[in-house]
Amino acid sequence: MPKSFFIDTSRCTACRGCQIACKEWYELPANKTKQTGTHQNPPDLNPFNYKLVRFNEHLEDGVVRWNFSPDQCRHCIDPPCVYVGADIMEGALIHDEKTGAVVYTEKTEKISEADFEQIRSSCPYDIPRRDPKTGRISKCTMCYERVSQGLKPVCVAVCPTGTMNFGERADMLAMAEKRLNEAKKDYPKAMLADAESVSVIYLLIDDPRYYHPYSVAQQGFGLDRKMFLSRLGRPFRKTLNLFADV
Amino acid sequence: MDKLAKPADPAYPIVLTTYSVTEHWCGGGETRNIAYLLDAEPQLYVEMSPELAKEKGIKNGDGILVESILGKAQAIAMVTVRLRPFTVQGKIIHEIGMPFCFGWTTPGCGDSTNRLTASMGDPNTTISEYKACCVNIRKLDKLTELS
Repeated sequence: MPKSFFIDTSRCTACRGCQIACKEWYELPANKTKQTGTHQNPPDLNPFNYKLVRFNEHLEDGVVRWNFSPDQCRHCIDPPCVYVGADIMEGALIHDEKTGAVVYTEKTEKISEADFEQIRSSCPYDIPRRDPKTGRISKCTMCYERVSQGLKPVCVAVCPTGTMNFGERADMLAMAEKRLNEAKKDYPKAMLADAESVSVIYLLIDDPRYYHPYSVAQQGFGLDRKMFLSRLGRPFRKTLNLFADV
Repeated sequence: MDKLAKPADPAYPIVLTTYSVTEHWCGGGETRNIAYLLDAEPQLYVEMSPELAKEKGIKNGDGILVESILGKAQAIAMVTVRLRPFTVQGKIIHEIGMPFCFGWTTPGCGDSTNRLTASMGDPNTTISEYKACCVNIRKLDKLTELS
């Protein structure tokens, strides 16, 4: 049975336990960061941060809306990166049908920077990052090894608020629907982000643009989704950026 | 150490409050040695309202100097709508907020906020008053305490 995450952002306090635990579990090198006027640090996903809690704030009728979203790979049901990757190097980007995990292997080290850019721009959520030293492309692995041993992903295991949930897809969808109905009472704009096409379902309680530009996939123009996401390559990213601020 | 600004001293018109962050424990003496935690909260900052920042010509991310009658500390401006100006007896009073988890034992992260706070406390409990004091801020072109 495929697995899914359910990320209930209405419960997130931005403690960043998930972000730090992910780095610890994978023993990823620390980044040397600076304070730049935001709590979001490191400023973006990077080859050593598979997970990043994003901060966004605005005033709505005099009330502060401070939205947190723990950003990570969505492990798409039809992963465009894997379609693009299959043309570039077989076995580098894998979609595990059993768990639904999208996993990047060490073979990605042999992928050129230009080909990586194509993979990155195929991602509707701008997730893959490349280590310029080794060439390795990395992102969230759905804690594939932990899950195959019956454990939960480490970000879910450490979450103290119930924001991060993981389990059978059917259970997670049911949980998401239940929480959506509850959240709608207080937050009329509450929605599930792309629930039918990803394995990482976010409950957002505000307009998606008040999270970050890639909080929901930007798609449209009546094209077949798979074609649109996987074949447009670089121009797709430009299209995304055009719509990011709308 | 026992210097105190006069009530409503025009040299220190801004109210400073101090607080902790999730990433560092207390003064940060231990947690600043953990690279992952320092990644997440690396340097001393000052949260201030957009109204105060505009008044002082400060932009988000600028280096600033915070001064009280006791001392000075350099920090990075974090301009945020979470801080709002107060109206007290018809006057606009600005409040700023700083964490107290940084200090000189970690080079480049900024000095201790307790260089600014008043040296006084409750005589019965001996608990010191580090939660609030009066300060002033200005923009700095060059930072020496943060790198």
